[in-house]
Amino acid sequence: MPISKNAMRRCLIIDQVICDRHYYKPNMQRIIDVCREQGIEVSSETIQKDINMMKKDRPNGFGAPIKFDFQLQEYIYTDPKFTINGVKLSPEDASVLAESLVLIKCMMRTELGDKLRHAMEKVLSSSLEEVDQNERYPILKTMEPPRSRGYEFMDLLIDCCKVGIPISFIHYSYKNERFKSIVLHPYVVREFDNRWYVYGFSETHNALRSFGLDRIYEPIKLDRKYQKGNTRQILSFLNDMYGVFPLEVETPIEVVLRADPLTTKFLTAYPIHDTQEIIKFTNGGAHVKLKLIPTMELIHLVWSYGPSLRIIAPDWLIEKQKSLKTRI
Amino acid sequence: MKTSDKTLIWHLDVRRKTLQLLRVTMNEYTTRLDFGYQMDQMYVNNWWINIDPNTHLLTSASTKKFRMQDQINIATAPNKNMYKARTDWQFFSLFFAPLPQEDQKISLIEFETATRTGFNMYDIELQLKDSMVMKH
Repeated sequence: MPISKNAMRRCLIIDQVICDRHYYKPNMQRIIDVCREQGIEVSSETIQKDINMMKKDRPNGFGAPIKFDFQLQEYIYTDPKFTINGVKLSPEDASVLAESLVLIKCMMRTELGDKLRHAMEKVLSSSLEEVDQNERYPILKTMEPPRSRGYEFMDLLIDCCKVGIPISFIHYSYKNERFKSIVLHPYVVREFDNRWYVYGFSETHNALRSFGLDRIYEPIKLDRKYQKGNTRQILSFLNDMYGVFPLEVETPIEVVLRADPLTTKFLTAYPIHDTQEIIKFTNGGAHVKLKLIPTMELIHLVWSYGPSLRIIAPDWLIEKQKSLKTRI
Repeated sequence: MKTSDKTLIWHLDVRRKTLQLLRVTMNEYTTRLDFGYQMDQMYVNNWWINIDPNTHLLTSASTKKFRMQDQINIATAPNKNMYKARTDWQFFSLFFAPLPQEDQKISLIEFETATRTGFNMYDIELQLKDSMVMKH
């Protein structure tokens, strides 16, 4: 029989009184007093019935190991860790959470990730079904690159994006081999291809910019008016690009690639972008149409396929990649 | 000496060859100078840098010498940070006794002799109106 809402409320109070034994003596009078404080008029007989019900096994009760200690004249849990106020998970829920923990461990090796992992482990620890973390190998495995330089700033940057705090840092440009002091109003911390970037408005450049965390030195929070970002521009940065460093245009344009038959198979299975459209030829090759903001990373991706993939439109992008290639 | 409980920050771009002074941070406890050092075409095998332990700051706001108290990511002489290639770079910081918080010109002095100039930098302007405040 399901537990009624009122009985549930009383059971939670009984649980709370027993668990808070360090503050007040958990006896019948204390339970009745707390019920009254919460607007529930109740007799000792009703409480006694509730306690008996709590002792019953699930689903009729909570399997609560309640015992009345005659010497102390108080109620106790014989298992001091027991509480009915925890989150109870089905084995399926616990399994999903356990797998999520693997992902969190891989992706969020920061203080924030640790907090999230700790919170989830707490939830799992209150589950009826214990998940044995030992003697298991991960059945879900993501790529785990070694921790990169700049990762230590992740928590500070996330906090600044969340609260809206400008930062001062020193940036080193690998390309120009030059240092620069930057004031940034950060909006988003973003991962791309296992590299982390912070995106925001750079006062130094008077423009929106991305900075690789590996090239940032000594970020400091500034007591300065925060310049809020334009949501449309931020979403465009997150969704309209393959990568983080745009080339020349700021709005999505049509880019056409030509792929050989083998590469077409891979690109069909692993699309480059949500906007990807494949127009197949009879030989199995294809034109791969994308609508996005062209980026350095898109050019690098095309290069990574060698002669199997090349840009055929727009013309300026073909010229751009040629000019970049000559520098290598 | 004028000080406040604020931490003031200046962004700068003062260069001496391939050494850049990028940021000055000061409060009532310390003065921090952040530098970037980039190797260049001058590179020859076994190039190195270090900082002399007697390095100090001079300021137009005082007659005192403000001695170096600490450093991060740079060796103090006679130890050395060695470089391997002309593309190597280094970010490092030097800490000095707290400067007065007022408009001033500061000079970084590694060597006082005319023959050895090291990382000496002269007359770096710090105006209070150009400073930013650190959020605590």
